[in-house]
Amino acid sequence: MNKCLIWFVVAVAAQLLILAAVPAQKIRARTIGKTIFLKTAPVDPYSIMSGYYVVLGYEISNPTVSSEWKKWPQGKPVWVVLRSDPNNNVWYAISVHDKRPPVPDDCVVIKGKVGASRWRIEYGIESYFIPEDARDKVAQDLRNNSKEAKAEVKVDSSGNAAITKLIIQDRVYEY
Amino acid sequence: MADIIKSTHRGIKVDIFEEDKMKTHLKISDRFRELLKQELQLWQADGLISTEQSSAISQRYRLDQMAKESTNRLLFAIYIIGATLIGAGAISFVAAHWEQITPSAKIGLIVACMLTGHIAGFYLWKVSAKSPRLGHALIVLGTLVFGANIGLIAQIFHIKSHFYNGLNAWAIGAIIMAYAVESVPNAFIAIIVSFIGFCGWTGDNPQSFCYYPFVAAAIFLPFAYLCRSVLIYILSLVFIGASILVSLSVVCGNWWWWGPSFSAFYLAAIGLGLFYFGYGLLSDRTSGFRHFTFPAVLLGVVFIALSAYILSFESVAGHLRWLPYEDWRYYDTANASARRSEISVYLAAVILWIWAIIKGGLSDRRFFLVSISGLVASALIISGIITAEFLPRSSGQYSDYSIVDCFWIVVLFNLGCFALCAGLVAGSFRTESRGLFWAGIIFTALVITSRFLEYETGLLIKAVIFIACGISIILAGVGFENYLKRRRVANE
Repeated sequence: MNKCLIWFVVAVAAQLLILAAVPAQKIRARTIGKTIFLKTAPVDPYSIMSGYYVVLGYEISNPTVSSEWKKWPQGKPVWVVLRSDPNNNVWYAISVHDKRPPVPDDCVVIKGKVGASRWRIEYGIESYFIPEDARDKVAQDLRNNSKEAKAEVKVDSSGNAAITKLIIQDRVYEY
Repeated sequence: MADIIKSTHRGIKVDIFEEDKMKTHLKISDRFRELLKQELQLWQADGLISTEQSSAISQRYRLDQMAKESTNRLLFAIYIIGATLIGAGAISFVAAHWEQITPSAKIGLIVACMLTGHIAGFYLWKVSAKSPRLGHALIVLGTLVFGANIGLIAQIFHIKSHFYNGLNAWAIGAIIMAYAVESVPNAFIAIIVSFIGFCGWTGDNPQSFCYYPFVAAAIFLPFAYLCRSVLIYILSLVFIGASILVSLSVVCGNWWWWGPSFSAFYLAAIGLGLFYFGYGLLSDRTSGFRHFTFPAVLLGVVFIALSAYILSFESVAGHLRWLPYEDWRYYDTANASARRSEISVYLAAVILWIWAIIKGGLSDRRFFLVSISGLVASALIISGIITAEFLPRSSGQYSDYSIVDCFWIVVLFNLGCFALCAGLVAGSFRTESRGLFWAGIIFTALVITSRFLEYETGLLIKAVIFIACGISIILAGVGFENYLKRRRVANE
């Protein structure tokens, strides 16, 4: 009986651990990460919603400061250094690296990888899940005001990012 | 197991265990017990047996427990269906992304739901033992909700990952629970979910090492032995084989009827057939696991028979003679990795056969002829495939190959089919098994009919052949039944 109970407790603990491990990195970024704002750029304006989430692209998904990364193989880790534009508080890419670079105080480094299509860098913040009844509203807003949409993102010291809010003009969508 | 049986609530556990033990050892069906129960009353009424004898027989076959057993089984099925529906509800609930509650409350709610299922289930099953089947179903529900939780948490934290990562995480949680409480339904969830996860993974990583068969063999087969579960045993064997074949197909960027994976696919399928065969023979020589023999041997026969049958069509065998397109992606890598898979399968099959033979697997008359025919059929098919590989190939145009091109290869494949048929029929006479006999006869008729439908033969000849086939089947059946009757008389 005791042995069986111990194994049962181990199994339940293992299931809880797995559940905790899934969002561990995102929780870390949300808790201790630095808040930045990124301008979104539509991936496919005709298909903003993909099932339960909006597919977001960012200006930093295709950083024009360098084209070197486009030659790198798919899946290769990439570090992009970002700096804030004091005029609109939006962060933009200033350099792209294949190793983690030293970062000045006023900058943030975000970690990504060369995407499947090799045209984009993926940071793991490309999907934003929306509740069922808000889907049409958000998709419509995003479609109409795609140039004025930005995302609030938290980036931790290792460069891992977590998306927390979607902001279109003065409307904040937080789910 | 022993621990559980000795504990206080063990009355019911012992019942369940005894019930399983009785069925395994005596190999009796519920139908037999039902008839026996009816007959006992008649025998007693006719004075053939005394009341004491009747109750001794009744006790031996636990006839008084039959009603309770069938109610329990029905209840368990209902509980499992209920748990599955509730689990499906939980998954839909997650998918609906209910807005009215905050994410943290949502996590709390659904984790609480999972823990409630597990803890209440464990209490009812193992601690109070008041309702072991309901308890078991609640633990299954907990595992289903655990799978839903993975999706919910990914949604709350906006994690968009490949679906197979979630499925694999679910499978890991489910199999740990399956081992912890020795639950077959939990293992069933784990094996199905992990196989779907594997298919997704291998589709995205075609060049990666195919880890799944080894993982399945190392994790699921020991579970089947631990719980003596034929269901998990069969699923493990099927998915070990299927994963090798799927990855062989995906690795070459093609599906099984096309391109360089074609010969690799069938070589591996035959190798798997031999592997199952050897495994079955070995199980037969391992005391306590005899009930694992038949499913493995059957799978072996099915794999070899299916490969032989599909290849026996000229239009299919002709594909072996095609040249792949020159720009075939990964052609060399694919071939090398396909060869590696085949070699591992054959190596495993050879080891199992040698082991089984050393333990006297072939000395048993029940399997001797079928095993030999399986070996001969495999040898014929393998030599056909190898011949096709070595003969100069045609240019890849459909019109460029003809019957002359692959005539002897097709003959070899057809001989393979007939070798298997002969083995099954001959084996049936030796073992007096109707199942084997009809399997052999129907397979023979199928192959002959297919040949006559495949090649353009005049309607008159077709008619003659079909009639001849029909008459032969009837005569063979009558002959076999007479043979069985003579044997029975001789035995008496």
